[in-house]
Amino acid sequence: MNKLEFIKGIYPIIKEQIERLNKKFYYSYFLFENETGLDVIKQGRQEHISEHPSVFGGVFSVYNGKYFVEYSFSNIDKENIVSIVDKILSDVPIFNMKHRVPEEVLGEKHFKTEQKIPLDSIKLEDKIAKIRSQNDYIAGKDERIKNVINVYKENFIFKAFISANNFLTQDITRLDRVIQIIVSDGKSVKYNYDGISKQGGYEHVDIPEEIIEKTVKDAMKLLSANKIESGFYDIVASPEVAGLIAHEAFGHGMEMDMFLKERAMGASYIGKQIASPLVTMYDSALEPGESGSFYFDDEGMPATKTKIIDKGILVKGMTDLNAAMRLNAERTSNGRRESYKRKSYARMTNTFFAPGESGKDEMIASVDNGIYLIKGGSGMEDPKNWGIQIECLIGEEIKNGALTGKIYSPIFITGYVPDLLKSISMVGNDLEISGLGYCGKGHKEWVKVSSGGPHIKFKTRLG
Amino acid sequence: MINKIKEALNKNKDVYAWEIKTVESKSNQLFLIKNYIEQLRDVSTVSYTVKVYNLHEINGERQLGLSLITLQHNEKNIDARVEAAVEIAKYSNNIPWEIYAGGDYYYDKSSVSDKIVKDRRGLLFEFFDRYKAMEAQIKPARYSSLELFATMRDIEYVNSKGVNETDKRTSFEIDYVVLSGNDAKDMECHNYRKVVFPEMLDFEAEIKKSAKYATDSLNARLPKSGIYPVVLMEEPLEDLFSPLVFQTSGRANFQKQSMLKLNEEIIEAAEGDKITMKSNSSVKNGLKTAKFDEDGAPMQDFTVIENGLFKKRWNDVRYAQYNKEDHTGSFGNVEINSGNMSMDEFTEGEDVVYYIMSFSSFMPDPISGTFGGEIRHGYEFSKNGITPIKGGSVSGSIGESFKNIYLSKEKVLRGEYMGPKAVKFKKLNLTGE
Repeated sequence: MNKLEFIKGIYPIIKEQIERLNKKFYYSYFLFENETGLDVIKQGRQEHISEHPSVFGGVFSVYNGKYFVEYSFSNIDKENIVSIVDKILSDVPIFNMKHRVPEEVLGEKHFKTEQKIPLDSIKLEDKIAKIRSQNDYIAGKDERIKNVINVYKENFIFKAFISANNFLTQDITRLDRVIQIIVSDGKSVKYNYDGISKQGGYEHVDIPEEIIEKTVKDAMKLLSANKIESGFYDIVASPEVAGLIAHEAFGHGMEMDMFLKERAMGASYIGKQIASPLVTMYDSALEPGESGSFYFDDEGMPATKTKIIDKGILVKGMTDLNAAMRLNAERTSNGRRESYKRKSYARMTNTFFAPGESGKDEMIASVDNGIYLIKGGSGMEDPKNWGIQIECLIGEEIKNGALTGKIYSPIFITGYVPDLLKSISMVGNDLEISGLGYCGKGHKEWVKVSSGGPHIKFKTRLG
Repeated sequence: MINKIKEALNKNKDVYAWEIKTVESKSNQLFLIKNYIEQLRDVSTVSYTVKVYNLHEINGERQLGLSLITLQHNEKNIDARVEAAVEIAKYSNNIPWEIYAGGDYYYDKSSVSDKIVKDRRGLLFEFFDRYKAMEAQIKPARYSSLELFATMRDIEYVNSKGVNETDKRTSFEIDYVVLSGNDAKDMECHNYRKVVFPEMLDFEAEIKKSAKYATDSLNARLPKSGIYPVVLMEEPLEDLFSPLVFQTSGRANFQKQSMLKLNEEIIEAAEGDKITMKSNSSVKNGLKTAKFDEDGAPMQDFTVIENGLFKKRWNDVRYAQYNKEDHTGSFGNVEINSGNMSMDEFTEGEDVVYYIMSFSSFMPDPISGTFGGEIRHGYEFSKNGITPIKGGSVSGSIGESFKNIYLSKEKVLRGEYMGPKAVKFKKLNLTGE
């Protein structure tokens, strides 16, 4: 039985239980999740070919007038579903309603990712053969390559949302491809990685040759990388690093559950200039094929596109259901969970700077003494004080308007977000979105996101 | 359910070996914004993770394939799922290894809180009451949010070699933010702690400390830029030694990701304290204290680095056979030796010393050993007194920065780390003013 048939089979039972819950509570819904997949991972002489650990379960959520109560469970059979609802009805108190729950009425809708080349149309042995031959090919490029980790992951993410007004399902397919290259010169061990994560099918299987070449070359350069001298620099950032800045700078700070907790300085700056007029920034779950996209969020809200910064002015933030309700703010499709086992929070989807008018070469030519930040790593938010921390794996020196080939690693960007964003003096005419990463809320609650932008030029402190 | 899975595995002739891990988890969770309830959660899950092995030949060489399936509580087609897993396992070619065959003694470890087993929701509300009672005492600081998680897990491990063990584990997590200041200037302190026994967590002391940090941050400034003595305390210690754990593993050796050589110094030309690092799987309240590991083998205590010398590689079942070395089992809690200096002595003879209690994020790279982070909270100790610092960053690497490392006499247990309460780097790169 496929996933859609399964949920249609239990829909009448769930619908009946929602009706029972709605007789007592102001609002209720059920979210079902079933995530499965296939992993083909080649790591030197080792191979891992397997289903990946599946997620299967659901959560009932009710609003009792004061707060939400949720019961998550993995045993989705009729008897257990009814007994969970019995428990909710007997254990959860009801209060006078403090906030109205906003919900879009969509009725019954079923969504599915388009796969140009369906993943199940390709034989497993052909997928494995591709990964094996690519590993051998990369490993043979240089004797300093000690190991190559080649990852192929098919992800089938099925979710169903059932409330009094809606019965929505989405069947999302995503393909992740990553290569990690470990190199050593006998004195140290370094690594570099790159890849693709896109929604769709087998059409995304090939990591372009130029990306493989660049990943290998940059890994080699890391063996002789220098430590950067602390200080302020003129920076040109690649789309990948620009995306990390977008995500960490004003992504987390505009997740509006942080407004309720008084943890976001952005709450006081709506409508004010906080970045260069060249800066426009979006969060959008509507971007076709991007890894952070979906049709509806984990609270049943249809996908939206939110303009967070418009020409340097902070416009609005992203909401989950609770934040929209309590702040009386517009609902956006940012209510997301790590899985049915966890609470939903206001979370980003695909976050990116909009392109401008400058060319990359023009930007590098305009720098007398600076750094081209090529490869991102990780970052951390500080919405309360607008601090920013980003670790970059690779940066290259720029002298007199040209790249010198001198590599620095690792490089840490730290600073005050408005200073950084106001210093943006050129925005590229390119746009790339990268979806390899996951995003945490604090240090947990991991969800798939993407981020990106054009090349950008700015000033910041490096260390 | 386990018997049905075993039956399906045993009757399939292509299954060379198998392992089943069952985890039944019950968790209660409470989420507060300021001092009101945002959400209450009740989570109950059961999962059956099955590893299916197939032995086959390619060009006359024996190869082992491993495939993993996750079965649900009411799985209808176990035979078909096992069959599919075997078919996938036939495609993966690995140097064969044998799964754990038992024969070792299992020690019962103290990893269960009765409070969590008996009344998780009651426990959450007990902490909620204590939280409310503290509110007046932390002024001028105030609450932003609090999340509490009380979780109990029953774990059963069974394999085709006859190993069958059970274990019960509990955990209690607090994750909160305290604010201090006003509309013009407002600072926060975030604190996350995870323990096995909630009664061993001094909740009130944690909140008071966070309130002090948030209030002190109102007067914080950037550290100076340059090379300075830096002392790491509290949160960063939990991950500081993680690259050494990875680098001393059989996996890192087999995958050529480690430069460490047995019986050689882990740090060349070290001038500071020599490190001794042990796996401790027995300490009460350690997050890695457990009866058995992922292979079903008993968790053991062993020494990998002794007085700066790499003495023993730790190997799980697979890598012990690949590296032809002793099987130690998985790494437990990271135990680091204490040093000769007390924390008070760390400032003696120094013009300026920076103490750092938390970074925005601190994740040393396991392969390259580099580390760094933006400073969330710390203090500058100088002749001018003690000044709170915030912002700027620290960066270093195990290979270079550990040459001048000093370990405090005082010890602490935090998460899966037990060792010096403070670690001083004589020279570390700071980026600030």
